[in-house]
Amino acid sequence: MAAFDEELVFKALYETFPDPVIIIDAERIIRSANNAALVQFGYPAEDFIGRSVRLIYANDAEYDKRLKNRAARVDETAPRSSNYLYVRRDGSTFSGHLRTTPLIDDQGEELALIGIIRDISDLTEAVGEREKASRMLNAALEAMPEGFAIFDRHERLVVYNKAYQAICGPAGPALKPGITAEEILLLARQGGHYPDAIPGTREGDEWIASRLRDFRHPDGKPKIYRYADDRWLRVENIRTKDGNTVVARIDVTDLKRAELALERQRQELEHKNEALDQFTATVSHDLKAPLRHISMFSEMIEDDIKTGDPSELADNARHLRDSVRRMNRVVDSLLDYAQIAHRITDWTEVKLGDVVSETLTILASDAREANATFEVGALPDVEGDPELLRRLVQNLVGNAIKYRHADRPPVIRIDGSVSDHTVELTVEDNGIGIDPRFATRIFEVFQRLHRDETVYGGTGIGLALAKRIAESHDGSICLDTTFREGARFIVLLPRRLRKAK
Amino acid sequence: MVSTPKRLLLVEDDAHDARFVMRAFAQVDHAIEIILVTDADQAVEQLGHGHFDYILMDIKLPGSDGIELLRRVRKSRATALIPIIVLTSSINPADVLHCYGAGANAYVAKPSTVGEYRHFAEAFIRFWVESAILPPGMSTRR
Repeated sequence: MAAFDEELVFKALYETFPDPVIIIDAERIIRSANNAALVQFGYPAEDFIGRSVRLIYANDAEYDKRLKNRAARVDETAPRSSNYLYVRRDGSTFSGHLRTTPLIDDQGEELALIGIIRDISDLTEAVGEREKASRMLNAALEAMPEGFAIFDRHERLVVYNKAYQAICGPAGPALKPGITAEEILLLARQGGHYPDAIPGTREGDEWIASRLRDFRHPDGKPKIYRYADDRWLRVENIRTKDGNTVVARIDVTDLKRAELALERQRQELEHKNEALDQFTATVSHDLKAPLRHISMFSEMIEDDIKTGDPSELADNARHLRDSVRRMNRVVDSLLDYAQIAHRITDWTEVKLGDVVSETLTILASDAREANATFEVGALPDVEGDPELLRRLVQNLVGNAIKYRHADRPPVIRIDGSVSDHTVELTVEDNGIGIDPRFATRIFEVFQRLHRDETVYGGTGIGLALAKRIAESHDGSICLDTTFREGARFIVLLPRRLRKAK
Repeated sequence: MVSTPKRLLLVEDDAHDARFVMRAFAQVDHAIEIILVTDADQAVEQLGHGHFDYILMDIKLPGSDGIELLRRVRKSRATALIPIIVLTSSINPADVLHCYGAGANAYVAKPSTVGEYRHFAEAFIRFWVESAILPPGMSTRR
């Protein structure tokens, strides 16, 4: 067996080693390079050996970094801390991971440094691509208007975007990876983020429990929940195959509001239809009754003449005439009522004080007859139709005189006040009062509470008229059901005093 | 067999209409006692005091309306079984259904001739007084 020439083996290994190996001396001059190094850097040996090692670094900054790292003896096992940008002879560059070993003599002097440079440009590129993709994804997530987050199988938050943080409201600042879904819900609840889960209520506990149920066992159907500040969110929880839960939150407030507005309109329309039905029914009743009576009495008069029995003739003729008169009154009231537009178009400034004094003048003889006293407070100005407002006040004051108590002379108090957007006008009396059960019915057309027209005359249009006038001014009228000494009506009118006209 | 006249509670706020009804029943050859009240509260009061075999009522009444009266009569144990005949001017199908829904047994539109009133009174006696088999508990007076 031939002698084992160790030096020969090492030389062969050196020349065939796949990574570039370069040996530099203490002055940082390249003293040796293996084949792989010459191929990698593209130099013939004579143009490489004897040059400063600065030659292989892409620029001064890279070389300085190398010198600094060498002085600081960085950990070269980690590619991150020992990567440099190298340059080939043709000017092209590549990333390399450098690992070095010093050659030390007997005295401990460093003679040379062996460097192995592994080309990692493919790896660097792949890592760079991945980082880029991840950055793009993050940017996209952040830019998404929808709240988005991922929870792991232990319900711990893994990632989330800004929108999700904003949606979490009071829990937003506390968000960090690791916080659980339940903790987020409870924090937000404590902060008053859920109008349907007020802290300390049983309904609230149930609401939170149902939210958690939907998080833990999503049924695949998005739910819509109410959040603070009257906002609505569509919540979708998706369980992924690996046990994570992806949650998406979309603000659907505008949609929900439109839906609610539509529902309100529908109800309003339904209400209006009912009111119209009611109106037609009452009107037909009040028009048909006298017609029926006219038919009856005329037939009875005919019979009286036929039988020659005059005992009832005069009465029947009188009833016939009364029925015609009543019919006339009903038609007149209806015309009055129908003439008032749903909304007045001609707004002028009206002094309610003038309206009231005018009304009292008109009703002076009735008031004298009833021995009525009036107490009129300070009355504000409004905008509206002075004639219509006068009729409104006249109806209320007229009723106050008409429905007086038999035992005491009527005292009628008319008062006004102004708040930010509304003017309030009240008319109260010490009369017979109105049963609170009929607080809304009294404003319907031809609804009378007192059957005897001879005691309390009228067709039952007055308060319906008053209501229509108030509404034509974008206002309202109601009976104060807490007032017990008599009847008290409150008229609210919008202030709407404009500066310029 | 001596029979006491049946008692009818008439709930009608219109004095003319009430008079037409009384007149029509007076012309029919069958005695029936009619007690007239003009609103729902009075009707309830009457029902609380005495026995009635029938209620003949208008729906449109002053104050608390006829539908409410129907419900009140049907809800009270003492009056739940009294036959109620609605006599009113509306022939609106919705109103008719409404009345039946609240517990009316029959619904008649107010006549507009003397002859129709007489027919109504005759038919009422024939159907409700002479032929109808009253529900148990209603056949004898309290």
